[in-house]
Amino acid sequence: MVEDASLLAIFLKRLLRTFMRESVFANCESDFVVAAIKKKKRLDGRLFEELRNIELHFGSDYGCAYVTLGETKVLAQVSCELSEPRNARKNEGNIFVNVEINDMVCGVFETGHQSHLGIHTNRLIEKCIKDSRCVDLEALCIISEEQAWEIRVDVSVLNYDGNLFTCCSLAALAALAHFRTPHVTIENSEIRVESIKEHEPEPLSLHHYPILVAFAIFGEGHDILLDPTELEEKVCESELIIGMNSFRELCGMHFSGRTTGNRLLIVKAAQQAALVAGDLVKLLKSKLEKDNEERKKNRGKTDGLVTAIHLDRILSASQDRNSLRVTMREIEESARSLFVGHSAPVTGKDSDDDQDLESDGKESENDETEVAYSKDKRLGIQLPPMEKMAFGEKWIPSGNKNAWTLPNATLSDASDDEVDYVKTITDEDRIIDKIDLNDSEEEQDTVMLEAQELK
Amino acid sequence: MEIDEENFVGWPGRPLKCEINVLSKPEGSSMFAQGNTVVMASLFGPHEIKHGKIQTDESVAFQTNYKTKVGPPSNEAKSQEDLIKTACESVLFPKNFARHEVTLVVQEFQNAGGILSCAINAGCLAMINSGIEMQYLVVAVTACINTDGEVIVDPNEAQLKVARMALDVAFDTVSYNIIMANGQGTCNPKEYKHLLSKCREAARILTEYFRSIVKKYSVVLHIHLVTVILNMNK
Repeated sequence: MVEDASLLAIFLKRLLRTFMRESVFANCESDFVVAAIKKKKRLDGRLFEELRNIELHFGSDYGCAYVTLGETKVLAQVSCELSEPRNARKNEGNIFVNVEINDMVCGVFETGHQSHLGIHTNRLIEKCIKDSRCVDLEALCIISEEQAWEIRVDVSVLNYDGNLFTCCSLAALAALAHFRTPHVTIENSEIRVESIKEHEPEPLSLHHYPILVAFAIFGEGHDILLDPTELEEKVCESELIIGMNSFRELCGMHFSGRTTGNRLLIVKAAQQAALVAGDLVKLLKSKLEKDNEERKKNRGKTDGLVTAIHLDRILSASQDRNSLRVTMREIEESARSLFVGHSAPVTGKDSDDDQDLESDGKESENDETEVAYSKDKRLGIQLPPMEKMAFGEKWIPSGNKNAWTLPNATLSDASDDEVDYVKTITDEDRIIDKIDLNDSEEEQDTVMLEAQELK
Repeated sequence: MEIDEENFVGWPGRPLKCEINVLSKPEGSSMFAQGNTVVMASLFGPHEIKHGKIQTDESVAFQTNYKTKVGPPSNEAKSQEDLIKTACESVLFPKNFARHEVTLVVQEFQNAGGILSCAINAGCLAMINSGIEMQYLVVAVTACINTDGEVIVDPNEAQLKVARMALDVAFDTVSYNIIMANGQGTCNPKEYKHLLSKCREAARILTEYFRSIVKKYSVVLHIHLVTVILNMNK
């Protein structure tokens, strides 16, 4: 009975989660995460000091950047207008940061007002970019006490899956670095703004490139997780956000939660943050350079965000959006034991590493048969790029028969295609990858036998 | 689905590019590009209406949120939002989700002309992706008449600027009736008819494109499922 009741409670919580947008996590779910972290494991198979897959695209408009960090996706746009400088600082322009989170996306039921997360992110980015004086505000001034540029950074959050801080700050910084103000000429103290077509616009001058790096802290300050997901953020004991630039200088810090952080924790995290910030700035600069080159070739024009659309990627119904990564083999085995009746015991992945080695060797053998799509640990299922042909008639991934359009397509028909699932890469594989499997020929023989037996 | 303009059969406009299911939070999402105009649409719901918003009628509440990249929405954005709403609202079966609401969020990514039709198309794809029951699809086409009296379907920014008349029309895909139309400029009724018929032709091709997208995604899902089942049977 007790078990039933707890199951019911979990079910109700899940139901609640599907009906309300607010992400509610079951107690057992959070316990599981904490227990896994105690064993130095994360649900998505990352190391503690590993970022999720990061992508950065620039738009065709100046000052537009689209950043994805795992499932967290953000679009930033910088704009400028002429205005009178503030009284306190008469020879400086101004910068204004606005982070907008749709209440649907981060799922907090607060009508009218900006959500807590929105304000929090906004303030941290302000700290990181505005208060660290990374933009040269004096250069924005055109005529002292009269006219100066006011820069506005609009960051809109498209999808939320933890670590909004890194994603937003990178987007905002990238947009600022990409942005150009129109050229201004002054004649008899009259300001004339030249159009972008007539006169090459001027980039903003940035003193340094600060980026926020977020950590989730578990185990009373012992486990520091870089780039937490939404679940990890909700479960963690405390959060630590460090603003760092590529010169390893601290530009903002925030610490909150239940644990009392000790000095070592902060120092350790800051050192990690410096490395991450360095990498991200490197990425930003290389992308910026690419964009510049393309603009030089095409007279200042690019396709921009059109390139952000990936045609060879399918995420739906793939394992990718499950927070827990189970390998196909494990699903298969447990499913087989359910269907057939005699239960084949599912071997635990962690318990027997040697067996893993063998079976993974077998799997990679199977991979060499014709495969219609591949599966990447981070990007989900990937198709080969579509063939260039008239659409509508034969729109199929190259390399495979289209079983979808055939009305009488049966399973046995499809089996002729010899499509096999591709190896799912787990965190164990990374260790395994380093080990050369090719020299064990005996194992390859057993694979052949087994395959025949099964047919 | 990357299509060169030369290899492009049928569609008279700019190259199309699309990815669906790009976001994890919304029920359905799509990123759609017509030429250099890029839009992302995400559909949330149906979910229960929040307090204070409960309506007296029994039909589903459809909300649209069109977001420009810069600042608070301008009047133009508000009017575009209404037009997107009219086009996409008609698709749903209203009685099915009484006292529930559906929200369509359309985010402007890049505007190089014809963003309204691009937004409606993206919205439709997001709805397809969410799996919500639909009466028909909605496809939108932008076309213009230039100063020489020629009709250009899906014009780019430069062509739109010098156009005498520009028209955004949304059609349903069953009888290709007009759901929404929005025009700017002047032309005589005969030219208008010609323009409409051109749009309608293009809409038919666009429907095929939508189908091919759905097919593309389902082919892989199908293979994926078949392999899982096959491997179970072994």
